[in-house]
Amino acid sequence: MTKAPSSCHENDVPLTGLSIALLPEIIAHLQDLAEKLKKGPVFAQEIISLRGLPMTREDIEDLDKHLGHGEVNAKVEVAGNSDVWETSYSGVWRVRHFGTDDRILVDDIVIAVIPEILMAHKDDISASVLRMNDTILNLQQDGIASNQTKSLD
Amino acid sequence: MAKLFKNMFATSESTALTLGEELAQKGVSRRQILKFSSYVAALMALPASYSTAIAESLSKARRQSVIWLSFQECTGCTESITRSFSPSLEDLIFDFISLDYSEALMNVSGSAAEAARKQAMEENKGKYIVVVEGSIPLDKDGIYSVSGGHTNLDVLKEVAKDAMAIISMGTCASFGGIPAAHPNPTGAVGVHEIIKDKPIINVPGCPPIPEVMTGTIAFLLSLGKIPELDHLGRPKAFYGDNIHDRCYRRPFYERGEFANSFDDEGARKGYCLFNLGCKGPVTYNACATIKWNGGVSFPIQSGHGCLGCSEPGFWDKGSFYSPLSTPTSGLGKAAMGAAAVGTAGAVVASLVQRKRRENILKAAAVPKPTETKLGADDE
Repeated sequence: MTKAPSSCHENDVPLTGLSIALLPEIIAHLQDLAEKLKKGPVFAQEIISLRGLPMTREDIEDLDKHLGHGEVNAKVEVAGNSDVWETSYSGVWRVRHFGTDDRILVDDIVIAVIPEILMAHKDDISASVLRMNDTILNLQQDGIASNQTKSLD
Repeated sequence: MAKLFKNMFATSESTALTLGEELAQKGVSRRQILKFSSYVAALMALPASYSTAIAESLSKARRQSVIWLSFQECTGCTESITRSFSPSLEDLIFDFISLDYSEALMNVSGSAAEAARKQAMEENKGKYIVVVEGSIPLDKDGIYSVSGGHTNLDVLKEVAKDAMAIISMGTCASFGGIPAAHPNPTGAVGVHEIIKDKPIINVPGCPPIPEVMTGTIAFLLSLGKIPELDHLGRPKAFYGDNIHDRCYRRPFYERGEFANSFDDEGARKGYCLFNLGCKGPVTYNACATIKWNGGVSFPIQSGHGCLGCSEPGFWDKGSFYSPLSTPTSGLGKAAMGAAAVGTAGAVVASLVQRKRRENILKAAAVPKPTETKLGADDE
């Protein structure tokens, strides 16, 4: 996990209380998700953006301490790195997108079965079908070419 | 969402590739666009859940023609938007626009550059975005700033005529800025004092935060309309709160704990910089939340008061080191309730964020993304 950037004075700042204040909001979304899922599989996600809140580094560390670390860790390597991990509360995820130099660009709490960033998009899947088809055709052509060479030998 | 884009790109060349198609050819996956969209949503204080809708819209859009005009300025705004950016997520914005003219960045110069500007204006009549950096001198018919034999005033009027919208980038283009500071020898003014018949978005700051600049452009691209603006024409998503209200040192102000010089105990303890001239209480900008250099710090966090650079006439408001006013005697009483300030402040901040989102969404008329059944066809 990449360390959050350090600052000059924030170490001296007491916790603002925002980490505790967010927990009821998280549980409200989690409860909603649990209710929706009782009716069948559904894709729904609620996101709380921590960068939009005046939280100190200590606040965010405190929040992560309360949420804990769960069973899933994922790394998304596209347009910079992203860390995605499930907290100790199933369905509550942390998604953190980095720029280069490990600067945090997006720092979210995602309440979902799985965060959308981990799901493959239908257009990319369609493109994969074409790409894999090309690969198979190329392999078959290579195979034919190599058989022809052997028969010539 | 589709309707918004129909309006914005109704007459776009139907043969041109959509951004989704164009980026797919370059090997940019939808996951990458989604990541960028969540970045934009976070910047604009939109509910991050809307990132899916923004990603879909961006994929269906076409490259937006942008003409960037440099007038009376120091090029600090261009420096801010280009130099601070790393070739990763934030860089994607440059894949979404076609920067058809920029004196600072384009390779060609002279008549070839002017020809590129005229061609972009002709091909994208009524659809291009104009970004203006710098103020425009009016005295002596604008003779104080001339490029290619044309005054800034003439160029602005000519380019603005067929523009879809204008973004005044930086305090100079927004309000006149430093060129307009007393005694304003060139009669410098901001864009809105000259152009009256086009939508103008002011993005002040000296310079503006890079994310605020790209966020505003991305909002225009992805939602196809002007973001909600405050009374000074600034996007409320970024300029909706004042620095003081969002400052992490606010609890010290409430408790009456101040730094009185830059090297006293209060300064070392990170106390409020009000007495050292901080203009945070009267300055509206996103420095306290988005911060600078990718969220590393902002002036107050580095121990210096806010200069108020995103406000009109900031250079002429007296010393940067004179306090706005003497703190009121009520501060002692405020200290009595200090224990409650932390949590109460946090709840208020969360509510402010939610309220702001609601307002922005109302203005943008963004439809709430519908939930989709897993496995169902979402077409």
